[in-house]
Amino acid sequence: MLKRLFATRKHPCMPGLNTPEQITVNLSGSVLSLKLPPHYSSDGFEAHCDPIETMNIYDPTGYSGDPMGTAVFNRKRFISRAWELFGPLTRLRNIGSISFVAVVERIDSLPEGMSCFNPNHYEQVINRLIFKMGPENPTSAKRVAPVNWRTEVKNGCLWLYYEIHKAEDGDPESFAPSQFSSYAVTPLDDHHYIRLMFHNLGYKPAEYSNRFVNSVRDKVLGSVTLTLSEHAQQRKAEVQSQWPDAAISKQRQPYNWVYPEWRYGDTSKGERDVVITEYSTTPPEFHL
Amino acid sequence: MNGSMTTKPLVAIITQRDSSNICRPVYMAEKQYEQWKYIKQNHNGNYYLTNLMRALYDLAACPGGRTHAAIQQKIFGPFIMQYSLAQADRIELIALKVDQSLVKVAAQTPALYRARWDSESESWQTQDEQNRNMDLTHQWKGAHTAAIPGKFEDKGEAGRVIGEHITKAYRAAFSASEVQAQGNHFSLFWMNNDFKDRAHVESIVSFIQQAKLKNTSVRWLVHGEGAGVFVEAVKYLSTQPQAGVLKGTASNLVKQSVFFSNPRGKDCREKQLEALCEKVGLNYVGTKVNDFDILFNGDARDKFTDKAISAGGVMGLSGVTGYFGYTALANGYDAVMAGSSIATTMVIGTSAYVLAKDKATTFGGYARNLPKVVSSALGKGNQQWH
Repeated sequence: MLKRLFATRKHPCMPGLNTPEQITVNLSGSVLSLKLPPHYSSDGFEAHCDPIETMNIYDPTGYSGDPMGTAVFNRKRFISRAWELFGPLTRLRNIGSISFVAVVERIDSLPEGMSCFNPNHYEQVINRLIFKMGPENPTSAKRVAPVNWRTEVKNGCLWLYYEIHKAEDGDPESFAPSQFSSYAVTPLDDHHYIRLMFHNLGYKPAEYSNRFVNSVRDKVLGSVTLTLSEHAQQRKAEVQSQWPDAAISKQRQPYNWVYPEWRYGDTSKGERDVVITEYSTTPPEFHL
Repeated sequence: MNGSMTTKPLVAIITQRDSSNICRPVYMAEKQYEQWKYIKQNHNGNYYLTNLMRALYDLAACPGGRTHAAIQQKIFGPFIMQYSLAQADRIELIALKVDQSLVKVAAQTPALYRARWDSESESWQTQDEQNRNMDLTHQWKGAHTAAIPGKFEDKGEAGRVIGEHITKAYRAAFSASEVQAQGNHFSLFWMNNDFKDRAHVESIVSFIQQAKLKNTSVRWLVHGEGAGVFVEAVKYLSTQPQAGVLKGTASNLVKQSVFFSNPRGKDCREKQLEALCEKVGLNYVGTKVNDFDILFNGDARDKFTDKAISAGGVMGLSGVTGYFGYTALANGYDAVMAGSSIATTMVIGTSAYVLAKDKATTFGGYARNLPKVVSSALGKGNQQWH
């Protein structure tokens, strides 16, 4: 209560931030554990997806995705919740929110012989995903990505962190500078990986908002450990011995995309709801 | 200029033949007649035009021969309607114009948007494009879904949060996974937190009427302060004569269902909402009330007071000044809210809390609930449906 009373935009209050839940999820033998603040909704709605303790990542049931483009990704959610941020008491309503989603993602169109355990291949997979969330999603605001790309090896697992921001929209009133998503991804096997998402809907000034939501993200990510299953570890060792010199970029600059031409499709005629009619920047291709 | 156009050939476009409600027929210059015909035939594809047409019928149905020398003007989005009330026995429509510059295209401009499920980010994303009508052909489980959000920072947040409300509210109709599919969207009428603008009421009336004209099923999710605006729209439908081509669009709306999520505003108590829906034949699905939202929600307030009374009764408290003090405050909320700023509300909220905390040891269950109330009011809401 005191925290709420004295919250400011510089130091907002996020209920549950200091009383996180310990969560452990078994993903076909690979065990992910993390500390996560409890779900929180002012409107009284429960979390979208309570942590699923055990998930068979090889069971196709529950996967969903978008079949568009030259790469197909499908995903299965195992945690989805939201947190709210509160500022000064002059405003009762929350000033911002973070939605946290954890999925296992599967890439279905990776050319034969490529593996997510090869760091170079893995970077290509993530590049393709980023393209899909940028120019291949033209109905939403334009995106800038990858931002703040960095890598880390933790407990033998290669974690990759990056952000996707909204492009400057020229509106000085816009909340876009404080609305961005942070991602943390790490391979589970040749075609599967974990993707943790933090969708931030922040407040003004963006400087305070971003600093705070990043601190929440870092706190959560700092608590994350993944222990790969024996099978996965064995497969990883095989891939590493096959490509001992494969590496991932340590630093990256955002893409300079030109968005495609598109139109709304006629779904009654079996078209997709959004049809890309002409690419400018073309989708990245996979190279073995 | 007195607005009269008696020297030019005029044709009657709205007469008593359209509806027995018409008190003053509407005339316009013959050369503009094609324009009117177009609007009459195509208004259904553009809610501003439905607003315009309805306004004209409403004028014609307005009893009394009120006259006014100056040219009158009404604006609906990019459309301008100029008319004259100079003649007591008729309305003369002077011009129907389009001025696109009247419609702002800034990101947060109040308008009809779409929130689309994005499977890569596992979230609802509000599109930037403004739409002239709801895509009623886009349906899940046999109905189009449309939302009227309350207060949010921007339309992006509204789309994301309201999308979650929809799956919870209509869980009997569909599961989240059935709805959260690439390509699915719902209509989002974003008012940019201006819940006092009459034009928004008009637009909602048009959405309801357009769906009825197309005989389409719609599931509405009406949230927070948006409920007050929706209620105004339904009240309009239940009281105004719906003349002309909109005849029959103000009743028997059974193909349209409404769920209210934490409604806030005048006449937004559960029973009132239910009664109002019944009046126009809207299919009332339910209301989700955050029980601890006593500052803004009348039902939560009543429920809370009931709890407080029972707690007090059972315990046979003698020193109930604190309790009565609270009841007085609770009863005063309607009055306070009518003209209050958030700051006023705040002061009352915290004083109620301080009051109760002081008595916490004697008030038992009642007092133990108060921190929840204050939490809810001050933003620290509950974590599940209570």
